[in-house]
Amino acid sequence: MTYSLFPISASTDIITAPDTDVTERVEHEREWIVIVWNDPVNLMSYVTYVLQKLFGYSTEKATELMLAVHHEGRANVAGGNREQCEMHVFRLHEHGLWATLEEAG
Amino acid sequence: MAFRRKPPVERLDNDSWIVRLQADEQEVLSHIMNQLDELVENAQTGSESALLDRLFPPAFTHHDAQHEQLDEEYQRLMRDELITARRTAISEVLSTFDSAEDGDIKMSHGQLTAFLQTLNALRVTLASALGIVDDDSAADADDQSDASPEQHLYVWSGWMLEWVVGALAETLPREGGTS
Repeated sequence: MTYSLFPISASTDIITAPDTDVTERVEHEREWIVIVWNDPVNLMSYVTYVLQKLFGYSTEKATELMLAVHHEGRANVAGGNREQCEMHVFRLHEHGLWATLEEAG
Repeated sequence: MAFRRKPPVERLDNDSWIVRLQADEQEVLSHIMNQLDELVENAQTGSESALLDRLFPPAFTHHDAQHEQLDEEYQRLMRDELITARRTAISEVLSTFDSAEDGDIKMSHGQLTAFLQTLNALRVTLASALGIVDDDSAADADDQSDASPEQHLYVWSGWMLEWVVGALAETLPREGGTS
């Protein structure tokens, strides 16, 4: 968005400035992902249970993600805007899992 | 006839379970949970032990300066809340120990969940103390459960955690959720 510092009638110079609403909206719409990292200390059953409890996954889906964490070192367990992903990460940390978020893609 | 102990975690009804801990287990657990609480409390005042690295990990992967800044902001907003959540869970578990009868501790779903989170917190903290960093060191710790009290407790907490997970998994909604 552009806006004029002075009324157009007083000056034809148009000053552009970042529109904070747009900046916030873009940030809000940007897609982030939540990653759970492998830690050999966490029990497989525990990781599966936490993923089911926090994200409502079926046993099959949660087990699949847990095995990806175990064998590949990490798994993308959820997505959303940054705020949503930060909350997911908080709840995973609350359960003692090593989780981070990063931009999708 | 071999002595068979009752299961350490048993469901009574919809919202109550019995957790069975022998007197010595309860004593050790209380002691170590109080120690954990002290460590977590110290984290609140900034003197954080490296033993707590797994309990307070970064939220961003620190790919660049922007992520580093985002993590600082995240920690500023969420860290105290995480500390409070941990201390509340520990306190909730310890309060259930006071009402134990012959080693039987009655817990609600919320208390059993607090027990789950605290046991896991204890286990990951012990893992840091024992230097467990990969599959090999984790396997060594499992194999040498009698090498030290910490190793014994690490293995015991894993065994108890399996029971608690099993009990709480029964309360999850029936299949058909998001997948």
